[in-house]
Amino acid sequence: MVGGSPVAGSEDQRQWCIRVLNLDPAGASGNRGEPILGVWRDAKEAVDARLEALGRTLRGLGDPDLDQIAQYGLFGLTGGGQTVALMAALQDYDRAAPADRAAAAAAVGKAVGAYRAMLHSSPLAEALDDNPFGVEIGLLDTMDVAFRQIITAIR
Amino acid sequence: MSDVQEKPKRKRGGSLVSRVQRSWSDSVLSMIGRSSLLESGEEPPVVLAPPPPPTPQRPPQLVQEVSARMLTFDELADKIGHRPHKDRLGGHWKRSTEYKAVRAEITAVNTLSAASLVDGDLDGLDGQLDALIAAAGRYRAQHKKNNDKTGAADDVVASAQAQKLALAAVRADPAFDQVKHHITLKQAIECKQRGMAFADCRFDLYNDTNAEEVDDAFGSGMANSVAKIEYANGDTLVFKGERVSDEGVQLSAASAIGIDAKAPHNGNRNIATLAVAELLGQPIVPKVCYGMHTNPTTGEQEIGLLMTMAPGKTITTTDPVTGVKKRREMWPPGNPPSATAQAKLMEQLTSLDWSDVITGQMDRHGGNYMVDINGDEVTVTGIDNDVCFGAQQTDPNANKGQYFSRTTPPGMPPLIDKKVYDRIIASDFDRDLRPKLAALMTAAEVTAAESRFNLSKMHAAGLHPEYVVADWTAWRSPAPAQLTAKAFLKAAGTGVGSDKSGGLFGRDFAAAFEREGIL
Repeated sequence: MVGGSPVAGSEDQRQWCIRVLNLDPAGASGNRGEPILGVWRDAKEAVDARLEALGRTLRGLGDPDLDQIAQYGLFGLTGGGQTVALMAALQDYDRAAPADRAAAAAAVGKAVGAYRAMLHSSPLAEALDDNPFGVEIGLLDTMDVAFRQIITAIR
Repeated sequence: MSDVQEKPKRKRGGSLVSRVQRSWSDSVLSMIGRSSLLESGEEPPVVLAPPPPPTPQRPPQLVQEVSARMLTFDELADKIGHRPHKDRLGGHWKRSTEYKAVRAEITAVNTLSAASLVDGDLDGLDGQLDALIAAAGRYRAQHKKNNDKTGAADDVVASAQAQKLALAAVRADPAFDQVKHHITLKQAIECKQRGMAFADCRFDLYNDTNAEEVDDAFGSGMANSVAKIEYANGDTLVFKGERVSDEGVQLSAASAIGIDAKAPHNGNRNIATLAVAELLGQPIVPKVCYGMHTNPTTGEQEIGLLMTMAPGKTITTTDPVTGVKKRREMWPPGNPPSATAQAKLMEQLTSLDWSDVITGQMDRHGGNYMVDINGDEVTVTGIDNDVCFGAQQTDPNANKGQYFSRTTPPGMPPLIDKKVYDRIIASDFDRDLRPKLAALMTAAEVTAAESRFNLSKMHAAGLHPEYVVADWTAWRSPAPAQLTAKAFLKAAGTGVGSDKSGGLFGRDFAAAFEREGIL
């Protein structure tokens, strides 16, 4: 490589590394593109923002039951232990050295599978998406898009 | 007709809610395991306001670069050499002009910095440090072929630059006025070398002049010696000298989470732990601030952390003969705590568990928290909060498999007190913690704390509502098990060989409760 970090070079330099050294410097950097945790976080923040909007709507109606739902019922699906496990797996993958990447990818696949299964079997997810307050959540769709991006990235 | 009209006990707030919406509301309440409040007439849960920010304010950020590079006057003098050496050729004792200039500037720096802070010439000292840097540069140029001397000159320059940074931090501290009448310029710089914010310093109250009784052999942990001091204002506090560096004595648990041994800022970690406890609304760690006390060994005034005395006793004690740690009897056999005390014990231990996951506490062994059980009253206090807030622990859900030397129970707490839950849910890291933590630790440590806090909040928000405990005596786990809180925490485990546990209660008290037949 000419000067500095191998990942700092041009595409020509990268191709040279692949051809001559049999080494992809982008792969050696430990991060080949957008962190997959970021993909998940963006999706979650988008959903959470819509849930916040739903929460505001519920609280605005001055109804104790809707207040309860706003306080306890909205973030259970995007929070909790399974979310922590998923985020830990995504974070581990982003930080994994090339040699550990395959194992980390397997762990991500497992965590995504478990999380997705949890979401799609949850009547609460369906209820939030179908809420009668005119606030579009799109929880399942948004998460599925993110999961597809994540699975594509780790393949 | 709608459900609202069929149930006259329901509050009229429901009049704004359509039948479809009411049906949705009932379904969702059922899914999240809660009952309708409309028939009971109970008020909805109160979300507590977050605590106010501290006054006076701390600086906006910590100047970490100061700590590792700054030398004492004696170290500076040692670097450059103390006395003239013998010339090889002429047999005369002599030193170069450049050497003498460096020594003179070091002496001038030391003299200027000995002035009290209020009378000190900050500009003069800043200029004197520039003069020292220039003199060291000339000394280096004169001896550029001598690695020892160029290395010494580089060290002097680095230290002088660090002192300039510290001096700037002294000037910029918003609480300068709180300390200026009570310390010298040199001590003020030493405060900054230890990462202290003047807002946390009470040199006016806690100094040797105001100390009425001192026990310098009060106790010691693996890492620190401590003194017990009774002050004229009636406060009895524990003093622990604040070291600049933990090199050579740092606990492996501290290095495992990335605490810089050259600049550990242990006192600040205790202050930050108090900030988290206050955020949770739980008095589960000592009140802390910085003060001054004369070291009985060196005879010199030390700056150190003062902590309120925690009542009660630690869970474990070290046998003075064998050095083996053993578990204490926390109450006389056959005379267990009352039901009220048991509930308070679980509430406070679980609250300390939550505080520990947020702070990333690594060292909550049985010697690092105290429990006082006095009739129905219980006080749990987490002490020695040095090993936490590491930059390399971003996940609160930690265990011994990840950090071998960790002694805190593993995993996330399985239950949460309702008051703590309300505080966590109502709080916001950027609003409630970042302003307090930024002056106490590095930016990377604040970022890790943000991650742990947000994941902990997410875990709390995601806990099934049945695990938010409003009454520790009456609480039962969901059907069919219907366990009491203590049985539930016991069932969650001691954490030994596991990545989860029933927290401090599960590890340290469940077995004793079982022996007493009160589980």
